[in-house]
Amino acid sequence: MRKGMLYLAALVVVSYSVAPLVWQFLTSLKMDYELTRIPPLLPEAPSLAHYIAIFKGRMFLRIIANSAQRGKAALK
Amino acid sequence: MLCGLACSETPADHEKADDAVTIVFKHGKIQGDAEHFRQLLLRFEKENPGIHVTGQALPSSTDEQHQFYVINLDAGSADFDVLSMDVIWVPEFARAGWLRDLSALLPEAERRDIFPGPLKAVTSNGRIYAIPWYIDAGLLYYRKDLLDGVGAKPPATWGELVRLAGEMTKGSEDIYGFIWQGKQYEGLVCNVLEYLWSHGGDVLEDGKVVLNSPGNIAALTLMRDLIAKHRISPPLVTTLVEESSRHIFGNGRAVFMRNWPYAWNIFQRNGSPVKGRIGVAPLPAAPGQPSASTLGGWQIGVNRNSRHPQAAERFVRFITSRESQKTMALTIGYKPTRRSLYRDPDLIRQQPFITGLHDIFMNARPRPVSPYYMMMTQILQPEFSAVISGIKTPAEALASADRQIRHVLGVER
Amino acid sequence: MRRVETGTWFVMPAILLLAAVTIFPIMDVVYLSLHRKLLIFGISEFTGLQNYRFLLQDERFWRALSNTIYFTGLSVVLEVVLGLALALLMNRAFRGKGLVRALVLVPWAIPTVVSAKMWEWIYNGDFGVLNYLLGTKVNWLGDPFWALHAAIIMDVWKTTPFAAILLLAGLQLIPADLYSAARVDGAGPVRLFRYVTLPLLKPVILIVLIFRSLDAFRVFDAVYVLTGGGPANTTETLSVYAYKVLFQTLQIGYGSALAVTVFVCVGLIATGYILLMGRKAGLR
Repeated sequence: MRKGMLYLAALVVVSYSVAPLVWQFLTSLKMDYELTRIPPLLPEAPSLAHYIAIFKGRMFLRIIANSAQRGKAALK
Repeated sequence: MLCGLACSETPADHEKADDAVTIVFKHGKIQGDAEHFRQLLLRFEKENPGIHVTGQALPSSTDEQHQFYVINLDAGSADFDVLSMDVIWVPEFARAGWLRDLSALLPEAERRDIFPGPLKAVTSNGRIYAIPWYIDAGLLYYRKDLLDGVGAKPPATWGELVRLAGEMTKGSEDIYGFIWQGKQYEGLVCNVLEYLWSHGGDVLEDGKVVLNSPGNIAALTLMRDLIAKHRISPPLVTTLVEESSRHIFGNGRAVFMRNWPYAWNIFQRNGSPVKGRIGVAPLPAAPGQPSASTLGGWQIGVNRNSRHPQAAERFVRFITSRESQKTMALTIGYKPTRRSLYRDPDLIRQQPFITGLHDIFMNARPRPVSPYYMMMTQILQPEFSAVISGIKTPAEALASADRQIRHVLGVER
Repeated sequence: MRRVETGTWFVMPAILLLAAVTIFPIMDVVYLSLHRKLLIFGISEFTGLQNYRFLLQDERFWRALSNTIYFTGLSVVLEVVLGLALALLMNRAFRGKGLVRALVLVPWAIPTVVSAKMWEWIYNGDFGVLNYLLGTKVNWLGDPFWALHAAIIMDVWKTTPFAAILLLAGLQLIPADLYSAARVDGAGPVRLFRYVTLPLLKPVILIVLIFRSLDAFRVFDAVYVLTGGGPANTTETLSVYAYKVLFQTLQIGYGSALAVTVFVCVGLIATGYILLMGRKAGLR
C-alpha cells in the first residue's frame, strides 16, 4: 500500500516534468494544417516531414558545427 | 561571433579576379525558396563584372535586426555595404548619419511611380536615404463564401463590420467574428493607427502631438468594444500576432481578419481549408472618413562607411529596379513599390489579386515619420494594450501617452 | 612568508583577467548611467544623477520593479516547496529511482527560450493544450491577471528540478542514525521532518534561495518570449524594461541606470541572504 503511494507519486512527478515535452514531440509529427486543430493531442497522420526538412537544409549542419565549435572553445 | 548561429550566406560561386570588389548585403529572412533570391544576386554579378555580392541573412526577428544595425553602425562598421530596413527605421538611421544620401538614385520621373507612403518614409529634409524595396499594408480578409451566403458585400464602415460579424457568429462557438493583432508589440500600434486614421485622428500633426482628440477616443473605444461590448473579437486577440491570427483564419475559424498581404498566397495553397473561399478589401472606416492602412515593407540603403559606395549604389539600383521587383513579386510574392508594375500583364496573369492592392497601397500611411519613432512606439504599445485589455479608459491612456511623448520630443532641446 | 608572496604573483594574472572581464564592464555601465546619451541624436553629456532622479518618478520603473519582486517571490517560494517535495520523494528507496531522477531533470536541461516557445503554444487561448485539458477558456497570456502567473508557472516548471537536485544532495548528507535516534524517542514522520530534516537542511535551503532569487530577479527570456511584457506592461520585469530602453529606444544613459539598479538590487538580495546565513551560523 505504502509502496503503491510512492510509485503513484513518482508517476505524477515524472509526468509533470515530461508531459509538455511529450506533447511537443507529438506536435513535431503533425503537418502544418493540424497544428491549430482541436483536440490538440494526437497527430492524425504522423509524419517525419519536419525532421527531414531540418536535415535537408544546409543551415542545420552549420548550426550544429557552430555549437560544437562553441562547446570546444568553452572546454579549452 | 556577433553573427552567431543565425547567419547564413548566399555566396555566388566563382573565382575572384584580383581587382574585383565584394559588397556585402544584409537582409532579413527571405520568404519561400532561397534559390530564387540567389539567382537574382547571380544575375547582378553577371551584368556587373568586377562586383561580387554576398547576401547575409540576419536573425528573423526584426528587433534583433534593428539591434544588430544599431550596434554596428554606431561603431562605424564597414563590414556590410548595403542593408535592408523596416520602414520605421529609415528616419532614425538617417538622423544618426548612418546612411548615404541616395537622392541621385531616384530621379524625379521615377519618384512619381513609387507609392507615396514609402516615398514619404524614406525622405528626410528633402533628401532620400533609402530606396523602397517592397511594400506591405493592412488589409481586411473576409470569408467570401459566408458573405455571399447572406448576399452581403465586404463592409465599408466599422459599424457594418460589427453588424455582419455579429450576425454570422450568432449562436456559433466555432467561429470568431473578427480577429486582429492585439499583443503588446509593434503590430498593435499598426492596428490601432488604422482605427485612429479612419476616425480622423492621428498621433503627430506637423510635428506636434495630437493624441488627445475626440477622433482618437472614439477609435480606441471602438477597439475595446469589439471585445467587451459587441463580442465579435474574442479576448484572446490580446495575444495575437500576424501568424497566430493567420492560423485561426486559415483554419476557417474567423469571418474577418486584419492582416498583411503575405497571408493571401498561403491561404490559396492546395490543402488550405479556406482556399478559394476568401476575399480582401480595404479596411473599414468611420462614416464619412477614408479607409486607411498602416504602411509596412522594407527599404534598401547604403552604409555611410561602405568602402565601395559606387558598387553598393549600383547594387541598390539593381535590386530595387522594376525588373528585380517584378522577379521578386513573381517568385517570392513580395509586393512591388513601383506602381506601374500593378499593370504588368505577367504579374496580373499570375496574381490577379494584385490589381486590387494598388488602391490600398495608395492609401497606405506610414507610422509617424520621425527619428523618435522607436521611443514613441515604446510609449504607445503599453497604453494601447491597456485600453484593449480594459485596464484604462481610452481618455486616460491617450492623455498619458500624449504627456510621455511630449516629454520624449523635448529631449533634443 | 616568501611562499605566500610567490603564490600571490602566480594568481595575479587570473585576478587581473577577472577584473578586466567583470569589473570594467560594470564600471562602464555605471559611468554611462551618469550621462544623457542618445545614440541617434549624437547626444552624450554628463548629467550626474539626473537619470536616477528620473527613475524615481518613472511609473513604468516602479511597475517593473513590483512585477519583478512579485515574480521572484512567488516563483522562488513555489520552487523551493515543490523542490523539497521532489527531493524527499527521490530520496526514498524504490525501484526505478535513477530513471525518475533523470526524467525530473529534463525541464531544467532545455534552454529557456525553447521552453518559453513551447509554453506559448501550450497557453494559446484558442487551440492551446492547457485549456483543452482543463476544459477552460482562460486567456492565459492576454489577461492582465493571468499573464504574469503564466510566466511564473513556466518558470516553476523549468527550475524546480534545479532546486530539487540541490536539496536532494543536502538530504543525503543527513546522517541516518539521527533519524533512528529520533524514532527511538518516538517521533513520527511529521516530527522527524520538522525537527530533524528541516533544521539540518536549512543551509542548503538558504543556498537554493540565494541562487534562485538572484536568477529570478534578472528574469528576461521567459517573459520576453512569452508576452513581450504585455498586456499593458503587466508582465514587464526590470530586465525586459532595461532591454527595451537600451536596445530598442537606444537611450543608453537611462538604460544603463536601469541596468545598474538591477545590479544593485541583486547585490542587496545577496547581501541580505549572506547576513542571514552568517547570523544563523553564529547562533549555532
